[in-house]
Amino acid sequence: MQTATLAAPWPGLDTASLDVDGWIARLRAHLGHILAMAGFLPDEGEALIGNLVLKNTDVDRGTDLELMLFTNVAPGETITEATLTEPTGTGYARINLTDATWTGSGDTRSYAQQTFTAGAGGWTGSVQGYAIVTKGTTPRIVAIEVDPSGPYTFNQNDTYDVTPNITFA
Amino acid sequence: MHIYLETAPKSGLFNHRGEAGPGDDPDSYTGMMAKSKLRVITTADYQGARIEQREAAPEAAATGQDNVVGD
Repeated sequence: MQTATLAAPWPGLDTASLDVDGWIARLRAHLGHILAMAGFLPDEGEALIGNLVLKNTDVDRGTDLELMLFTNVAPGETITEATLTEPTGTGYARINLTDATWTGSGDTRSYAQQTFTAGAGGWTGSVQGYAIVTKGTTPRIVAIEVDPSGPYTFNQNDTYDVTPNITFA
Repeated sequence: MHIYLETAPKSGLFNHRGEAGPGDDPDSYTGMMAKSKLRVITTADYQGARIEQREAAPEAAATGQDNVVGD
């Protein structure tokens, strides 16, 4: 492990002695994940969309969506909201995505950047990526992305920016 | 089973993601990641925080020679 003294461009970094590998990990977390991502729509999301579009009904949609982080190591196509695991600790909470706030047209919809910030003591659990889930009767995953630069361990004041941008292809 | 995921398409660098647990599906996960052109390596034992597995150059692969300088 390399060590180096680097200036801290954001709060929470110890400038007295900092390992370069850890600094790079935090830089990636702070960049808003503009790096290559790996997202997919799991089976339960496909079923939900089918019901909403073709049958015009699904009580699992509810109002608004939630953006969450997950710690599952290898989620597959059958992953469900019920089996997603989340980091725990001060400052972690799902972020509400208001229905009317999505923008875009055609095959792409976007939402403004959202930021998760670890509080005192940091979080337990290595963050593997993020997911967008519904808030209806039984929450369903409508998008899940693995962050290939992870996993991340969050210390106090570490941040993770996510800009939801979904394209239907 | 330990899971390693390529950090970017064709990077040849694989970060250790952790051990597969309840609810994980390594086979399906591998397929999902492949759609984003990311490779997955699974190992029985921990092989370190990162694995490097570069693809052989096409000409070296065709001749059967490795691409290690100095051989």
